[in-house]
Amino acid sequence: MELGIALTLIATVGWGAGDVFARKAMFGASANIVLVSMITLSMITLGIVSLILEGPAAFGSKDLRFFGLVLIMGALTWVTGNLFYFHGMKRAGVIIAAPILGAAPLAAIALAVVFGGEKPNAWVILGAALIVTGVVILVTGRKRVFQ
Amino acid sequence: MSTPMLAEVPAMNSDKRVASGIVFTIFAGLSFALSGFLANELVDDGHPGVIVGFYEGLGGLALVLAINVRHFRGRPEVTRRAMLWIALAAAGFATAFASFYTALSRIDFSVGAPILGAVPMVSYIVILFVLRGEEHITPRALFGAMLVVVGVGIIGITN
Repeated sequence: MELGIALTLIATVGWGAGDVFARKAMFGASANIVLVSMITLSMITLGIVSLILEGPAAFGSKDLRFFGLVLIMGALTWVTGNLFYFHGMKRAGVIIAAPILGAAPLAAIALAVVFGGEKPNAWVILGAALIVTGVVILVTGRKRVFQ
Repeated sequence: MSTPMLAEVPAMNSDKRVASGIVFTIFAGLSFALSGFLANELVDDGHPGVIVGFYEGLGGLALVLAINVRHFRGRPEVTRRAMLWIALAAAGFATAFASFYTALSRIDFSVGAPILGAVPMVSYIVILFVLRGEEHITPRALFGAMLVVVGVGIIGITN
């Protein structure tokens, strides 16, 4: 459990810093070029790490369900996820875009309430209210973000 | 292909453009949430997180190239400086994917996802060093981001 949380914290730092580095790269390249270069480099890195940690055998013996799901994930993460996010960053700036992306758990709650029939407790409602207030503050103050 | 220069920023920063950026970001957030849920399914099936991340990147690269095939016909304009930042961003993302997908084999997605709500705070700290002079963190923006992080934190802890 502790290792899982530690790894998630490392991921938080990786994504938080990676977002800003990507935004910086967009001052010298288009969002699409940044994205394609990043996917390629990330994939090569993950491939090398996989080879070292899991060995070549881990790449094989995958069923159709696996490939179907990773293709859907590829579309969600890199096309409607990062491609949209990079265009969002380029238009609105990372200062506005990053916290809005951080509010994603709110969408998960909304889906659970609407489609899963879950009833949120008072803490969840308070958390959701803070997230909505924070996003409203960010969105209404957007003109002063750029220098 | 146009390359955004610093001088173009005020012109780009119209209300319409910023609003479209916000809409793009909201769609991106929904996509990431769904993708994380699917990654959790695969890792729970016993697939190593790094392998899931690798194949996800392979699928994503094929799709992004297919969508942008016309965009990449000419010689892309990329400065050397941009390439350096791209490499650093890729290192950050690869570390994040490998760490988070491996973490999903040890913790539930519902535990890990709210922790990622702290990403904006990390971004803000890095902005102070990397985007100084290009983007400016106003007290208002900082307050808004803090409310988001606290809200996500409350939901994560109480769940």
